[in-house]
Amino acid sequence: MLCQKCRKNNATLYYKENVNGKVNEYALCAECAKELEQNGSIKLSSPFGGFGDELFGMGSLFSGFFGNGGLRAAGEPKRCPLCGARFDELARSGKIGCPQCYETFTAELAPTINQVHGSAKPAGRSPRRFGEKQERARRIEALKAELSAAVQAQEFEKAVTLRDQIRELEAAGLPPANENPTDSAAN
Amino acid sequence: MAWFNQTGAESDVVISSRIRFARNIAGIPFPGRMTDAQRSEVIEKVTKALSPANLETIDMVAKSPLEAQSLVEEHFISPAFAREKAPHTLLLSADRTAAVMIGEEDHVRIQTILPGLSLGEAYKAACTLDDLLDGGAEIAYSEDVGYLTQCPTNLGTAMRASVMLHLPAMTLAGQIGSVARSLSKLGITVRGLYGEGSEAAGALYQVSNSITMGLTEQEILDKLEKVARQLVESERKLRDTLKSDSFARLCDRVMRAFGVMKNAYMLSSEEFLKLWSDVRLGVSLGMITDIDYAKLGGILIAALPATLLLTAGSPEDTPAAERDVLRAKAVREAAA
Ligand SMILES: [Zn+2]
Ligand SMILES: [Zn+2]
Repeated sequence: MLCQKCRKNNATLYYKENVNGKVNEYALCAECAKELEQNGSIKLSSPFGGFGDELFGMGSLFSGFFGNGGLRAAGEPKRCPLCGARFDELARSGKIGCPQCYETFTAELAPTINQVHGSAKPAGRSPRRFGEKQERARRIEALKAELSAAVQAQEFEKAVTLRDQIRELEAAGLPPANENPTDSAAN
Repeated sequence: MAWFNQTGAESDVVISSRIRFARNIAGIPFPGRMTDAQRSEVIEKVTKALSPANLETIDMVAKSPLEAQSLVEEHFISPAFAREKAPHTLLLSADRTAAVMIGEEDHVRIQTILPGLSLGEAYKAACTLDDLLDGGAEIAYSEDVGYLTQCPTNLGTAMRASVMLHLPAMTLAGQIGSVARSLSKLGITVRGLYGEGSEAAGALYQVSNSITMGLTEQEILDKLEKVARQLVESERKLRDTLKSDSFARLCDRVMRAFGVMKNAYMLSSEEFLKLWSDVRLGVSLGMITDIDYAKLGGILIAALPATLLLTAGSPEDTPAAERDVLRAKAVREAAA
């Protein structure tokens, strides 16, 4: 998208303002945004920068997502249990406080994430503990299909073996049982 | 030997290929909210997890600003990492193809950088380090948004893949702007390496993915590689046209540049980058044969301000005119 001011550079910043209930949105290049901010035409509120200008060259993303009162909930403001951040602090700094914040503020962050990434879901690599989980789910699916085929073919011995394999895989995905074997046997 | 003084596939146009992964450890605040104790904990954990890779551990706090800036010029660290005051550590491989920043914008930034067009190989090397890290620390990830990063723009794969291209003919033909605009619609960003705008100094450009969500790493790499190959083809075609349409003029320009490079007594950064680009173009067209891409790559880095001063043993505040004398000397000696 081209910058709406100079119509020359690529727009890397989005600016949203609310003037007496009328919402204006602009797409600007970094230079024009800087110029407009310096002459006071716009106020950049919550900078969610890219990977760092030099580092990943995404530029910064400014927006008014967090403006306009949506956060003024009654009572004590919600804080992230891990890092202690309030959402308005994240909005002001343009940085998320900790990995846990994404859970604490799922709803509040959704518009930002949606604006940057659309409705796309993650694909590709994941840490081993998630990869194993996905792999296990895939194998259970496959075994279940085999199981129903075996039942239909009345191969009951095979079906019992398959059922046991499925149970074993499902158990492997559960949180570990009591570590003391005598205890768990007693229960 | 680092990316800049080696050559690889399509080296006439592609200088280097780079992969960067952003990773964070679950249960620890992001760098913006970390205490120094937590920083040290992350540094220790990551260093230990990556120890099988035999990387050199560089405590950045002990580095002078000039040394840090020189590492920026060599593309091993980011400017933000060079500026950081709190504990931060760089892990660097002996062959200088892998650099891991601990305590930058995210807990860990894994980077691999290889000469020429070699995205696949760089990706494989980055995955090896990522697997080691995964084995020694619990990486922050969610099935809804992918790898969890301090800045939400990097969610998903948290991968930035890029190629550095030398595009003198496309720059001369004024094509960079329109190419950049059409590529941005494909989720590919083109920007000048030195200075912004469509006429980047040295005709050096960084082409990278801007999308991190909804595509696998392999899909992102395939797309970028395809774009890189198209740019290589367009650039080569334009160079050939240039050579056949205006051979004498081009040859004169290139040989003059080489002459100045070998004889100048003062060189500003700006002038040097122009000469460097012309000479590299001349090498690719066979007009200059007594210097090669590897040597030119080495000269490029050696002439950048911090590396220049560091090598010459001159202080950071050396006046510009003196710096230009040092630059000309370094370039002259290297090009001889
Ligand atoms: Zn503009
Ligand atoms: Zn938090």
